[in-house]
Amino acid sequence: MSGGSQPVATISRTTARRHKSVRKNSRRIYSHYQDQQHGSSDDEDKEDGRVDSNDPEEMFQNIQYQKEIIANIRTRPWPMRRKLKVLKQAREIVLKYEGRLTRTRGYQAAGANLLKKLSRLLYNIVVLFIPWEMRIKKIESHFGSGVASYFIFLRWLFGINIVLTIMTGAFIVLPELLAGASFGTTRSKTIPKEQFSSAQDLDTIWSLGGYLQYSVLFYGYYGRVRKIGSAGYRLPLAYFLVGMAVFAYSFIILLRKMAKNSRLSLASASDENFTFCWRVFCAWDYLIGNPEAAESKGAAIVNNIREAIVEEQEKKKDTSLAVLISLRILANILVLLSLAGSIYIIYFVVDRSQKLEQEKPELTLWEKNEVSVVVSLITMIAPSAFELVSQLEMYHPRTSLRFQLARVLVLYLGNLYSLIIALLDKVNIMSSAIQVVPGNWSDPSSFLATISQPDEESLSTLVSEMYLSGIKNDSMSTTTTTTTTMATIATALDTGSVFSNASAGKNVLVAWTNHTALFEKNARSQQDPCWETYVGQEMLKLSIIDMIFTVASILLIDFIRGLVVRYLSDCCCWDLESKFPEYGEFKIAENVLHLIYNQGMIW
Amino acid sequence: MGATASHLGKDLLSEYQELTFLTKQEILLAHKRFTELLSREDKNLPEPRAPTEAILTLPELKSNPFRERIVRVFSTSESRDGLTFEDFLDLLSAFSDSATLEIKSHYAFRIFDFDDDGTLDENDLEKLVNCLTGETDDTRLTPDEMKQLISNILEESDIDKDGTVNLSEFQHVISRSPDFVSSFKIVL
Repeated sequence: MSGGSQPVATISRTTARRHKSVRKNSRRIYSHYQDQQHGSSDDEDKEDGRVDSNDPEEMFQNIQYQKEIIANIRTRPWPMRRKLKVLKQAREIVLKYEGRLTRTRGYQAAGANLLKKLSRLLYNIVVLFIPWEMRIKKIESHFGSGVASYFIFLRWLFGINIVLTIMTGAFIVLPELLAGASFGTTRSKTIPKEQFSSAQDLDTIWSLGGYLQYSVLFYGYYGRVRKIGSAGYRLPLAYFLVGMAVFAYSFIILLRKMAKNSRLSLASASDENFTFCWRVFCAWDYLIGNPEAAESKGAAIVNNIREAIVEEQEKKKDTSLAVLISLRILANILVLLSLAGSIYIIYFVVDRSQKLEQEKPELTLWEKNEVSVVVSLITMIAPSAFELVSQLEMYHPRTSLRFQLARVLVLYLGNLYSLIIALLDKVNIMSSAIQVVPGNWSDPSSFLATISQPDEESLSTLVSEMYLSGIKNDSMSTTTTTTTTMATIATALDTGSVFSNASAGKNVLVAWTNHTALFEKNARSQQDPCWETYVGQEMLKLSIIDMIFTVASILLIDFIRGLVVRYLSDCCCWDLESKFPEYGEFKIAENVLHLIYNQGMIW
Repeated sequence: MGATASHLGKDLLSEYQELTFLTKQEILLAHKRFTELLSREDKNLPEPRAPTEAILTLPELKSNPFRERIVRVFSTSESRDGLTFEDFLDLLSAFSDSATLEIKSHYAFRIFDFDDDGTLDENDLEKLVNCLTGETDDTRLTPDEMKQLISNILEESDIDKDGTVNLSEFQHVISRSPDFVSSFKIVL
């Protein structure tokens, strides 16, 4: 080994020296690779020549050196034959001289050996358990490592979410299930009676009402008691701490992964730009095992090279600057407009859903899910719109990709934020509407007494008084009282031909029924004034609908498009496969961004 | 010291694990796939050598434009034709996930060096690009483009300006590339 030409005393090998020796080695091997025997016999002499000393310290260091050789032998670019020979020699030397050393050193070495064996065994086992490893490898071989990296990212996110679920489940859900007040005892845990009959309808389950709403899924279920169960488990504290822990854990894991990746890609921070070299030397993806993929990769490489050449030449050309800048400004304005538009739409839709909820007692399927559907539609359509707009700008493809990603990111963030803000606003309005009604409607009979002598003025004041009067906590009694009072007033009105303007009275009555309907709604919602539950429901609906949309879009847009292109291209006049519809391309960057958006929703 | 065709000895297995970047399962899988490539008479030889044509039928290598160069580089026979099992393991180890950047760049250099003279000169680069771009005429580069490309490559990477790229210049370029390590992989 040419590395052995350095004296034994300088045993403290730094990695730099090791690398240098490898490089020297490789060059030597390369130019003499026909003369392998020459190389190895050279080594043998050097190996034997060095271990003559009887000094125990030197011997120990020598043995350590041999062991280092053994540990690093796989990093040498030698053929297997040579590696085996060197390994055998090094092991012989170690065995021969190790017997002369003291016992403790021997144990130390044996311990290190055992540890290495165990770690290797563990590594072999752990590799078996990584989920989807085989599938991802298959994808890698068909489509290349870029696409596979998307799935590896997805798997990593999945791992994080599982850990978060376990943390939340173990510390919050389980104690509540085991030791908390059971279903039906406290007010926040019971389904109000009028919802009971519809609690098992598909409709209710879809909008996460009914049994799902009053379960451990949502925040409203959890009691306020400080300690629950026989051991005094502090549930509210646990809730708070788990929330903190979830965020802290996610943050730490993200940082760790970022640090690891930045170490690997430290190169991209440097100024050196080997574009042509990279496009030729590092272009091919050796994992591709599929002839179609290989062809398309080859075509991509050719395009890449041609682009680089053209770019090089165009650096000298002078494009008309004014037109370019005005086009770019136009494109940016369009994008900003659409971003503002999407934020406004979301706010408007949430607002509208709140108004609808107040007016109509029964909402159609569309209206209930309107918010989520609109958000999902925007997230699907807007990126394609941005792509079209960016064609105006005529940037270099890498720059335009960066712009595109930035715009899509702003869009997603804007959507999430405006959704949250709109929901919180809605919650505020709802809770303030409930507070508008103080006062007591304790005795309906006293009211009935006053009704008996109505005249127009007093009726309107009566109505307004009733409007402002309080609602009892029990909505059941409210509805019964309101119905009874309504009935009595109706009879009073009918019999009371004392009224000159019966129609005016009827109008007032109609207005009043509207208000009662509003009351009933409010009454019902006061049963669960828990806005956290409501926000949670909205978010969950959003996630579900987003997932449905994604699956549907994949099926419709990509799958059917693929079928159409493949089978109809024979009957169509132009080649469908390379011109307009084409096969859908797997846009890695945008899909990764969509994953991040979903994770943001989860958090 | 060779392995008998049907069974891999246990101590040999652990030595191979020591000497390559492969796990035990990967080595056993490689052994299985390798013995499938051998013809019946070869299986009884002490050190069977699979012929190049058989190796090129492996699905992982079939679509690779550099497949013949890869087999030549890793072959230890006199005529550089055919791989023994140990050569095959060397190949898989160099292309494995955990191999170091240096091993990969060393072997990449040898693969790209079509005339085996220790440097990448213009002919090597031209052959390299032609392998990448494919066989048909409309995917190949025109001679002008080729010349431009080669001169750009040499301008970027040739530090001592001798008109060729040697191993250390190549390794310098490769080490700065962020996706070389992940794309230079073959997994069975």
